[in-house]
Amino acid sequence: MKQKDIFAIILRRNQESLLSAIEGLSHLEMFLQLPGEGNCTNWILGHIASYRDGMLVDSGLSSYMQPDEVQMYAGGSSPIKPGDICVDCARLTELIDITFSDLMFWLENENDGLRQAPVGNRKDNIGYSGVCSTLTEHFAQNIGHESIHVGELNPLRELALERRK
Amino acid sequence: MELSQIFSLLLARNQSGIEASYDGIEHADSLLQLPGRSNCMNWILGHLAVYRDAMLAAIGEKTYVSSREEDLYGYGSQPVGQGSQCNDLGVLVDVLENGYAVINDWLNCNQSDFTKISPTDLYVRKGETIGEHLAHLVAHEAIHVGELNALREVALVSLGKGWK
Repeated sequence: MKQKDIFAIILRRNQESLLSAIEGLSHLEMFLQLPGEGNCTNWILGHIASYRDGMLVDSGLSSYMQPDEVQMYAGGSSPIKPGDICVDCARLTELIDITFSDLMFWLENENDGLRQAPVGNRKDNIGYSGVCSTLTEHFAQNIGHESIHVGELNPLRELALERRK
Repeated sequence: MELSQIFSLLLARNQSGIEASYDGIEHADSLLQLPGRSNCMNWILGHLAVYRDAMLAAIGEKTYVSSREEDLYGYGSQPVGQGSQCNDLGVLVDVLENGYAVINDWLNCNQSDFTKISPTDLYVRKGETIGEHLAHLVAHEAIHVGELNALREVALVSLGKGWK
């Protein structure tokens, strides 16, 4: 087992769980809020996509997100509510798919690349890391972070399904 | 960064999220329910304890959870709610903390063999090797940790408190 094998297993599980959590949800249902100060599905998807985009950039691959999109979903960004300016859920879903494919392809074909330092230079978002000395650490932090946000989607899906009754 | 360090980092993230979720929460708050068919905090913590045990068993360490608790909190078990049979929150917290400490020590002992075939009689067995098994269980755990965040929020609302 290599480092990349751990990341591939977890990333694949994250993607499967994420897609199950949003399957069939409408754009509007992705703005529903649970009691308290948790984020809505739209924010969580954008947040995950921006961190994945950061992993791509830091691995020397192309970015898919615009800087203003990244800022909207960065750590500590404002909650998104219905009517707020945000990225359309269809685009977020597309970003989730394409970043997953690129990261999996990179992991399957990387040859010692994980030992390299991150190459991204967008230090205004922790998802574009300047804080980790190797990509291995950056991937470990980001994929672990992603799993927890994926879990947050499950109660939001239940809320949406309950509202349909 | 070695394999053991990756697992250690991921487990530490999970444990930190677990501890943050129940900080200041009483047993009764752990039974609060969200809309729909989500599980309560008590069930999720018990479920995490059962799966932590499957990590401990795989690496040959002592386990903490009984078969009764596996029935209560295992995959597909009945939801836990007010009046249900369940473990006290404090008991679940202790099991999770103890399990975490043992796994973390094992990861840090520099003798972890992730290529070893995992035992076939585990409560849940994911992957052929210890490494695959741990990777699946750490990811499974993290997703349930994410579910705890909304349950903490609802508990804080119930207690009349804001975000910590």
